[in-house]
Amino acid sequence: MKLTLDDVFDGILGDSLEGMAFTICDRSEDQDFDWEDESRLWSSIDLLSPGSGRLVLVTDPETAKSLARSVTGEQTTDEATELAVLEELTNAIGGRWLAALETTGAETQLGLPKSGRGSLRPGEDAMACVYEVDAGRLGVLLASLRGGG
Amino acid sequence: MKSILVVDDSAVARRIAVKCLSSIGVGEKIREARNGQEALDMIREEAPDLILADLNMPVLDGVSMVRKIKANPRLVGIPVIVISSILDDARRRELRERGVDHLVEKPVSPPLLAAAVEEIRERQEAEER
Repeated sequence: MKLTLDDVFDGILGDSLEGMAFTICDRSEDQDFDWEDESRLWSSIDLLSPGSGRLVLVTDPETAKSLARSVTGEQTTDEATELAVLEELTNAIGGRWLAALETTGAETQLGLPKSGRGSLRPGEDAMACVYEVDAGRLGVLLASLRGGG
Repeated sequence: MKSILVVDDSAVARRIAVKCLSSIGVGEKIREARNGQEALDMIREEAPDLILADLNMPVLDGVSMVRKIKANPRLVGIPVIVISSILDDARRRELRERGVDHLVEKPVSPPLLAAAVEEIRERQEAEER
């Protein structure tokens, strides 16, 4: 199964962000996004079955802070919490997406989420999409596992 | 259900689960474990009244943890709610067969958790009658 950032993904992303962070999320009309900004926070998870790829969420520190506040309900957050929130969002979105795509009865398999700060250079085979959330902008990358994210 | 054990490798996910439990007034004593093995160690020290567990965890995953709990005659009666994003049909079937009492899809919310706890309570009361 070839994974693509399609309407199914958009629905899962929107539901997850609304459910966890109480924020509305839509595809941005402006798809320009500085993926290589060193201040970006990111989280990734490997999607192993059905299909394979690496899903990466990327955002700026202010948006990450706002998402963390919404998810935890706490006004003061640190970078570790903001990265953990991004990981949890990536985990929920990746898992729900694969489960929604699964039609053969096979087991859905997901890796463990990772996160960090720094620039990301999307590989040539990566699909990228930018979304608007209440707090700011969220970049989503879907890369082949061989190509990296 | 006074004593509850929340098992998830994500500190944020544990925090969300604890907040949900608090908001529905469940659990006077809530303990947290970071993976299935840590949970088993804590359960051996003191068995909780309810376990909330993630599936996708390092060291010992949620399915393996549930298998060990349900294979132990002393622990088999502890209700387990699995909270996970990866709940496809095959996994739901497997978890039900392994004795998981309720499955809740992430993101967890107080109403979802309250419904799961209520269903378990009703089942326990029916078994006691």
